[in-house]
Amino acid sequence: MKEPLAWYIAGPLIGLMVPLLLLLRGKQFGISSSYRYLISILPVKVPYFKYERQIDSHQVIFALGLILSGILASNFSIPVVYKPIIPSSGWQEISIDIYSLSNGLQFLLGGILVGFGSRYANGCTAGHCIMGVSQFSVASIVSTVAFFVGGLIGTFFINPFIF
Amino acid sequence: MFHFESFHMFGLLFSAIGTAAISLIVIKRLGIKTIAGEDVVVKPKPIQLKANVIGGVVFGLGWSISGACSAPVYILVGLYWKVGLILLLGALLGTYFYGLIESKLPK
Repeated sequence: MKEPLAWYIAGPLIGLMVPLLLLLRGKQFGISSSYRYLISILPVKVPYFKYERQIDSHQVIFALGLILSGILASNFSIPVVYKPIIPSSGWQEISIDIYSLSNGLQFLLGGILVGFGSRYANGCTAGHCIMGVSQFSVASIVSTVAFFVGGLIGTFFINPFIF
Repeated sequence: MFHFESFHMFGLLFSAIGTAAISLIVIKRLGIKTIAGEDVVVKPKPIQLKANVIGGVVFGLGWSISGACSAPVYILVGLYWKVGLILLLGALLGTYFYGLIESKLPK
């Protein structure tokens, strides 16, 4: 496999995780609470992490599955190429493998914002965009719009200066 | 994705949402129960306008800067572990920072 799976196959497959999780575990689709779970295992003296972490255990299992999927994908040689468009390339797509440690600081910063923002918004693209919007949940529609606003700001006003 | 030059990610997102929405309607209409025989309970998340908006924008910034949202972080741990672990460390740090100050944040 050299190309990403067609969206009309991958999308519905992801969407089917919603009924699958509901019917098999009675749980709603989401992943960002897994980070809360993982930190709650550590000896941190912060009230937010002293909670009934069992309610999110399914998300950690989901996370393990995601890691496994990445390992399997790398063994089937699926190349993941990020194609940023930057002003100095004349707004043409350039193909660089940016998944290298030289961009480590950007990934760390991005990760911190993702971790913070998803917990603050009480969900990420899985919990809000897919699970929430499919229920027409107002909180999730608002969050989804905010995600995209943030994404556009980052893409046009931050990324050109750091890539 | 945010340059809107390819339909792929939007097709993926919309078809995922559509599939999920249809399945929720089917489950409700047909009264399908869980494998344990219990009713399926689906609750929307509580509306927390300031949190949804501010947290959402912060998340979006991180998403565009890192190229990954919450689940792809784990996928990248499997695909490019060096970068994946940096992302995971960041996500955990960000979650921890949130936990530290969450009671003082507007919701």
